[in-house]
Amino acid sequence: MHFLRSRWVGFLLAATWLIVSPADASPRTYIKSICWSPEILEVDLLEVFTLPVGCELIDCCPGCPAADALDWRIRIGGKSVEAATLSFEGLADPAALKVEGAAGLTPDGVTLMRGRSQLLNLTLPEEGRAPLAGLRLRLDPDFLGHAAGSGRRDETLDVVEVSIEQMLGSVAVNEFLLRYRLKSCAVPEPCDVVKQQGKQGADDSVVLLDGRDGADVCVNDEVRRGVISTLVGNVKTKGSCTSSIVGVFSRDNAMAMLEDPPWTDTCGDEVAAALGPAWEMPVNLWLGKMIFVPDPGPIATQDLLAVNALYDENKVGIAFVEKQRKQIPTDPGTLAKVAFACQGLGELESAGLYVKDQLNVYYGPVTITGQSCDDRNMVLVGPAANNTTLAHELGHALSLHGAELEWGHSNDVPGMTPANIMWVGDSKIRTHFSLGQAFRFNVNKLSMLNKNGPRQGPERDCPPKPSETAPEPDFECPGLALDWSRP
Amino acid sequence: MSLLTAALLAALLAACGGDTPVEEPEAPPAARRRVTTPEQQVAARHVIAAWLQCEECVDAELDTLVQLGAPLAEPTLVATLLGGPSPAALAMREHELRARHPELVEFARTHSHVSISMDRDQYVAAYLANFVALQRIRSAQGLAALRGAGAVQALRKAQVLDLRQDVREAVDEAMKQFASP
Repeated sequence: MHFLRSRWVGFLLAATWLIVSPADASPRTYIKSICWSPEILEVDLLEVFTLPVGCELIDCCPGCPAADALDWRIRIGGKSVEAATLSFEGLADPAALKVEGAAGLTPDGVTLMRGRSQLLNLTLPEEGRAPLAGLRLRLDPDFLGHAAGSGRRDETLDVVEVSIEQMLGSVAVNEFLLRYRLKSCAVPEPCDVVKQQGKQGADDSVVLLDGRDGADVCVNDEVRRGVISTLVGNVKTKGSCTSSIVGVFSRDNAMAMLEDPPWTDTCGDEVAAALGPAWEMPVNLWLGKMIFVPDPGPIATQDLLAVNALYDENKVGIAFVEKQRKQIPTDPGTLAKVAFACQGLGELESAGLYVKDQLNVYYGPVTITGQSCDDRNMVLVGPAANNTTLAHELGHALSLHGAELEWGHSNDVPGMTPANIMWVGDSKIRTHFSLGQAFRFNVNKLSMLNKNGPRQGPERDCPPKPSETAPEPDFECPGLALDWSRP
Repeated sequence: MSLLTAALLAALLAACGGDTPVEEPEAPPAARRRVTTPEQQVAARHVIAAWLQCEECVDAELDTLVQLGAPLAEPTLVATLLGGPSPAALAMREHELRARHPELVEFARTHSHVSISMDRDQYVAAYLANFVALQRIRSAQGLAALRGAGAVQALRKAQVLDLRQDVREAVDEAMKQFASP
């Protein structure tokens, strides 16, 4: 019996690890998509990634010995990469560091070439702050020849991957996978144009297109950029295509969406997209005593700032504006109602602690970080919330919800990463909404932006997560993970 | 539970001899499910981390932890309850918070409908404390759910630590669960 079990176990393990390689088995994957231009050869335009040196868990892993030093197994791939550099801050004994494989020690740290390498003996301090490493990629100037990027479509020029496994002996105790997709982001030949009117900011707006192109192909979810005018090639009348839309997303402006824009079959069309100020959603802050925080007011102020910054940085086009803030009476009965506010709506409303058709955020002694109630205008924030909890919960209010689709969480959605604000269960600080999510916040019928009334405009019914019954791509709805290259 | 977690856990449980998903009372106390390979240790770590880091915890993270079992999960939960998250996790979180604050200051400067209420140190301290508290709360809850041999002793040790009140309440609540039959 044990023999049979061992054989079966061996097969199952092998199958598991074949399907999901160790690096991909971890959710700690960071995906960046950047448009290639000669300027990105200037290394400053490629972000420095900071990584901690040390175990993910305090005891490293079940059964692991105490760790005083780790080794890093590194793999760098991608034909556009010339090298990468790693610098370290806080190693207990920097002189003990050794390298093997495609790596070399430098006065500032380590240079890594393409291929596999190992850093040995990264020493950890006995106590205090963990060391940090800064990873920076250097691109190959000769790669420029491959990056002409002509033509109407975006092309993937290269995929750069940096995989780092932090090893305690033979056990991986932390890991990191960075994946850069270098795109051509081709600009079409001059023909038709989307022109933004009334724009508030100077950012590079994102233009989302569905329609029939010059070759009579039905184009779905094409992403173009432009500060004011955006070249889109030849876009024809809708013809037999399912969808013809222009969506414009920009900072400090509401999303503009045109259905069946007045394209003609010839060049020279200029479609105007009128941009108004960001949609304002009133927010009522109800402040209860949070166990050990006598006044959660400063936290609420800070949270609302973080929410507005995140939604604006991701060009969602919604401003959350504080309408009122009020202390919740401290008698136990009222507090109990707030603690279970998802079930006490009527009583809260009669007590003047709920405003219909507006967002109501309750800070109280709940044992959760945050929760979006079935009444999506009601959000709870608990004492152990993080700096993006409220932004996450408001994402549920804006239509990313539904138990049957895992509450609209972005975990397991191809292309999404732990940096996504709707991702749950990772220690990474979240910063990112995809274009597909921003589209849903604005146009979904179930979004409180539409149900509460601030927005008037075309609506859709896009699922909060792809599923067997709602597969992607779909001409009505952009893919949830569809995105634009930052910045 | 995600497909990935399910696959990893299935492989891990099978490899470690677990036929039943929940700890049986008559099980030998130590390492009934012994980790034997580095890959299994990684899979176990991911299950534990998913529980410690979950927020809404609607993805069956606790059920998955219970299926993993006390012999594998309890030592990490005890260490986290008493010591907080790992230094690496703390350092990364602090770094990210510190980097974020100036961006928020700039946003508040250019947008009149919001304001900033914390300076950089206050901001980092407040959210870092919440990060620590959440993992300790999850540890206490996880220990209660696992009902392993070392849980009560660890919770008693935690009760004499200078813990934040919400963590203390989670520890007390976990202890109550051991008192009930």
